[in-house]
Amino acid sequence: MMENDPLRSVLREWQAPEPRAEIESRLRREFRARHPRSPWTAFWRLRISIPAPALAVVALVLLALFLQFRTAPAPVSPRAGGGYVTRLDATGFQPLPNGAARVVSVRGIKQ
Amino acid sequence: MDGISASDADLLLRARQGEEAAFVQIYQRYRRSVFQFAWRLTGSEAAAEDVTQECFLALLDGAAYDPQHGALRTYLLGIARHRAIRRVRALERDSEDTEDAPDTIDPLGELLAAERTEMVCRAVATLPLPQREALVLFEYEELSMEEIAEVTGVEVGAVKSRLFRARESLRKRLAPLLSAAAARSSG
Repeated sequence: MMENDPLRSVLREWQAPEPRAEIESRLRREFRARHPRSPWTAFWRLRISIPAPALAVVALVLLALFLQFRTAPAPVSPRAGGGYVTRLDATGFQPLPNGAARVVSVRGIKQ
Repeated sequence: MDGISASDADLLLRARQGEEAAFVQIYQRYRRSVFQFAWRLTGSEAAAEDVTQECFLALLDGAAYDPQHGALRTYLLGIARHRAIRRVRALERDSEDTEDAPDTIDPLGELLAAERTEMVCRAVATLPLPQREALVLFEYEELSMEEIAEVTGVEVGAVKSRLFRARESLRKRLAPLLSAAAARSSG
C-alpha cells in the first residue's frame, strides 16, 4: 500500500550525506586513548628515525671504541718440559703386518 | 538475523577487550545508519558527526547492550536518538527568537528558492520531534513499528499514531510537490 504512496517517493528525494572519513580517525584516536597498548607491544612496535650521517658517526665511534679496548691475545710461552715441535718424522711408525687389513663398517667403528 | 546479532556481540566483546579492528568493524557496519539518522534529526552535519562519535564511544564505555533484547543497530539508533534530541533542543532554544516555520509552503517561492529536496528537508524539520524521529526511522532507516517502539521507548500504538500524524502533516505541507508528482506519474 505504502509502496505506491506518492508521499513516500517525494520523501525519498531527501538524500542524506555520507559520514566523513575524519569521524573514523577521531574514533580510532579515542579508542587508543581508552585502550593503551601494553609496554611490550609498544616496545616491539617502536620506531625511531635517525639521519644517516648521524648513524654513520655512531657506527664509527663504536668501531673505534671496539678497536681501542679489545683484549690483546696472551703471549705464547714455551712449555716447561719439551719446547716446540719443529718438524715431523716417522719415528714410531708401525705399518700393518701383511694380510692384517680388514674392512669394517662405520657402525663397527663407532661401537 | 541471529547470526548477525551473535557476530555483533562477539565484535563488541573483542572491542571492549581492546581489539581496535573489531571496534572499527562495528563502526563501519553501522556508521551510515547512525550518522544519517542523526543528520536527519538535527539537520546539522557537525552535530550528526558528534552524535555518531558519542554513540560508538558509549559502546566502549560499557553501555548496557544485551543481544537478547534486539539488534545492535536498533540499540545504536536508540543512543543516537537521545544524543540528537539533546542537540535539537539546544538548537531550538538558541533559535527561539527566529520566526516559526509557515504551515504551508509557498509553491512558487519555494520552487524558485530551493530544490525539491530542500522543501522535503524543511517540511520534515517542521514536524514535532516525536513525529520526526518516527518518520525518519520508518521511511529512511526502514525500521519496523516494533523496532521504532524499541528505539523511542514508547508503545507500538503510539508509534503508529505519530507516524500517521507525521504523514498527514507532510501531505499538507508538501501538497504542491505531491500534486506535481501525481501529474508526472499520470502523464
